Amino acid sequence: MARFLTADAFEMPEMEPALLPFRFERQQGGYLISNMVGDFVTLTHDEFSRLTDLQLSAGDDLYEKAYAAHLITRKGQHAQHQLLALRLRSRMAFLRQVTPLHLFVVTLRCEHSCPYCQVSRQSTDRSRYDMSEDTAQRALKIAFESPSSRIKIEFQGGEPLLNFALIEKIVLAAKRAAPATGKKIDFVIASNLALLTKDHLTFCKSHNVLLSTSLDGPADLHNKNRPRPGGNSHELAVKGIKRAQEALGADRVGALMTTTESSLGRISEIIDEYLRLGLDGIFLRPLSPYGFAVKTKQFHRYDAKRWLDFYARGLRYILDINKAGRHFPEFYSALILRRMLTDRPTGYVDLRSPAGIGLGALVYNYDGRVFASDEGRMLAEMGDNTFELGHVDTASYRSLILSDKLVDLVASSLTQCAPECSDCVFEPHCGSDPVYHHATQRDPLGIKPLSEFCARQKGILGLLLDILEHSPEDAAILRRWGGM
Amino acid sequence: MAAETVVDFDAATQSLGALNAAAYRLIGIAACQVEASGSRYVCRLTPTGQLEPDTLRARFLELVTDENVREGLRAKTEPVRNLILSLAFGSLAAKSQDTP
Amino acid sequence: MLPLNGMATATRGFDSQEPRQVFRLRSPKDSPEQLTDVALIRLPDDFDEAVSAGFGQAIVIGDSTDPAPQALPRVIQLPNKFNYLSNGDILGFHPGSKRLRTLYRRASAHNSFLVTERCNHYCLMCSQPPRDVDDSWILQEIRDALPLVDKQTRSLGFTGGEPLLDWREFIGVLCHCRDLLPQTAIHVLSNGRAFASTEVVAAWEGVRHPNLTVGIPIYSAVDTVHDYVVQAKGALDETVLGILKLKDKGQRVEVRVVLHAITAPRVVATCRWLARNLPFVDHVALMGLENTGFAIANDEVLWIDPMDYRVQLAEAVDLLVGSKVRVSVYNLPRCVLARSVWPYAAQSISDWKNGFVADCDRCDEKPRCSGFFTTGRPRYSRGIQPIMNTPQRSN
Repeated sequence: MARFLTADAFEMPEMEPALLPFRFERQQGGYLISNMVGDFVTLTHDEFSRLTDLQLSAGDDLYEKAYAAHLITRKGQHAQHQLLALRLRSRMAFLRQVTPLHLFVVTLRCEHSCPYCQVSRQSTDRSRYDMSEDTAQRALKIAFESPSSRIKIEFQGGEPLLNFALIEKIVLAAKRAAPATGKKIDFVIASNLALLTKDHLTFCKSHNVLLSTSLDGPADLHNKNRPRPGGNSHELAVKGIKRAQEALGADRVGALMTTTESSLGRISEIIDEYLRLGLDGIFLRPLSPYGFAVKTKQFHRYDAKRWLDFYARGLRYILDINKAGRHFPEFYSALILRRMLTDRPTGYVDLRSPAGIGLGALVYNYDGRVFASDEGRMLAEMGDNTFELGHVDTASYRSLILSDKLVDLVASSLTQCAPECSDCVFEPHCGSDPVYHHATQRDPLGIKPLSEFCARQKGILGLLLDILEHSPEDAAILRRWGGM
Repeated sequence: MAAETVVDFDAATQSLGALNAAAYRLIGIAACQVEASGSRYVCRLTPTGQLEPDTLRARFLELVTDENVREGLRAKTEPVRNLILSLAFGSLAAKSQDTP
Repeated sequence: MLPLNGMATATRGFDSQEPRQVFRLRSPKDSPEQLTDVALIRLPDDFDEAVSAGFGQAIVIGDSTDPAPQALPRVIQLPNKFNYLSNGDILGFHPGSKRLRTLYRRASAHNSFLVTERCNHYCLMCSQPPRDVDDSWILQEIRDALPLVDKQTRSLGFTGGEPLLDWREFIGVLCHCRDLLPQTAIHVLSNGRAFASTEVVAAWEGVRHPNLTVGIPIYSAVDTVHDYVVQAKGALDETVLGILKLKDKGQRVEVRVVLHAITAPRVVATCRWLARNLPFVDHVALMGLENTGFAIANDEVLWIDPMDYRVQLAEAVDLLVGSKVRVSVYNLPRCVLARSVWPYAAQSISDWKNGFVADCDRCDEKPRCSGFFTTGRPRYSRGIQPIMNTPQRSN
């Protein structure tokens, strides 16, 4: 005769519940909790006390919610330990691809005179401000010493097209050397496209070089940010984008925007401009404080609150565009969502702990100096060498990456060990930005309560969580972005 | 000169670490000075902005409560946290254990 | 429904002391290739054919009598309900009890070997209620049958009970499959707990089978709920460990969730948990309930109209798809599924227990629909209705 036990026979009081590590933050009406791998749960005040005191039992819904979210386990069980360990390893797997990004600053010359850029106007003396072939070769050698199986070489400047001859040499040399190393190589040129010629496009096409440009919005906004003799930066950028899309394919051309104070009230126009040009998405990012801001006081002009308001309005506008049927992601949100909704690493070097300086990217300046990040290079142009790691003439990949300087900078900026960060409910989805904090607080870790970076991150994560939880239609779109 | 709010705690039941952590979270909102005085910890809070004393006090007490909970949680979960971290990143054993 | 078990109505030439044996059925026109081949006889003329072809034994469906009994020394007579049998099918026969089982049908896409009726679980909805018997003879019968299976067979299943209870023997059988049937995909159903042992996983991996999958049920993200459904304490913990160890060794794992009143209301939470914690499994099958075996005894606790979890099921599928997990929905007719789920709904019910109801004749989706189980005591949803794909119909 078949005998079945009822549900309460499986309450297993002999196997005591035990807490698993989690973090919390007070919010409206209760608490936001995240477990060791960043899964979120919201609890009322009462549920929170019951959880921390382990006053829960099977069937009370709190037990079920807490168990599934790995907030509690039972003594004697092992599977959840293994799951959390496995997921932690997955989330940190970006560490396996060391220094996948290599930026080559092929020239400091540029024909624009953007107020927030420190390079400019060195348009005459080629030999002084162009990277030499020798420097390029040495830099390439170092790049190939990185253990990453796939590397991206990004050409920067000034305006890199002004030294296209060197770009060609580097691309060809890299492609020649790659098979022996077993590495895959991607190439990108970050250019204002004003000087784009047919020959440039032909070369990019045959060697699979991507183009990345800046597009700050409609003409008046873009031109205000990027003055150029002739005042036609926007016109040339748009022409360049169209020609590049036609020659290389729309998926081989990307645009980035920089937010200045003038951008803040015009988000829908900026997005409309991106849509108009058939770009496949937009990356809403705040202005960095480095060369630009410090010189022109731009970064004091708007704070985290104003930027978050801009971002929220932009996101709303973009979600509506998606709801109307056009797939158009906001790329920064998409990165954050991928961190929040999956354990797959994003490869984005600017939001990770251990930081992406050196470990994620190396920058080879035109003069042979090697920097831990592009922003670090910009600080050096203003006299601050904190992020200079060495010189291509004397350094090797190992000496750069294992330098005391870099190790100290990375170690001292770890979010996992930092005050407030180590207890922050968002930490698994955030990262350290030692360059920003050094630039604004003279300290790679920074005091997070004073950090606009922190305020922004908390604002973005909070907003995305709110949408995921309370707006099902928008949430479905966000989930699609996160799964990309 | 902004007015000072004073909150004190029984040192026998309130840890200094939690007070410091709460003070850290207040940076930018209020300066906080913690000192031991006999069997009590005395916290002097000076707002940097326009915060009302009562609001500041309530806020600080909330933060201290939260830090106390965090301290308790840390103590309870540290062993299992170390276990999980060592499973994740310790040199992985060649053979994992069989379950009973 | 096709009866797979039964009794011979009569036998000739079999000693009741003889051990169990397996037979492969052949058309009487074809000559036998091995000792286990028997002629399949339906009509009187088949007897002469069989004798001319060289058969020494025959299986006779129905009442046809043998005009020349001496020519065919060994004969088993079966009732008409076995008329579905055909060339290439394999039977297991026990002379002592005259009981036989259809082990394999060549024309079917759904062949499955029952490995044992013993089990270390006691699932509330078990369609094959466990019996604590010594049925170790079954593995031998399978070993005898495998050489007779058509090499072109696309897939074979192994079920129970819990096939891994006698894991050494069973894994030995998998090695036979690998050697005898290299083109045949193998799908094993198991509660997965045996794989919490590294030794078992190593043996499983050691088979190096070209296409081996194990289907393992997880009924909830919560230990108390899963353990209750399978009626075994500690089950979820071991099952999850087993899955992790299998995937760590690159083995193919499918997670199965049977949907009933305990599991269906929480299917979104379960699938969210699967998407976050086990996104690397090879497949997730969300399955309608077969109302047979223990499911009938536990009807009070288990029955839920699929219409009442239709929305949750759609959300759960959406979640898994969004997380790039391969998902299928089994055993639920299209009329009870949200349209968004249709692309994932498979025609999953084994042919021998698959049927439709009268209303289905008017349904445009019938050719693509899973239909219903014919086993046990079928309970039909209030949502069963023919789907007419007229232009104005919306879902």
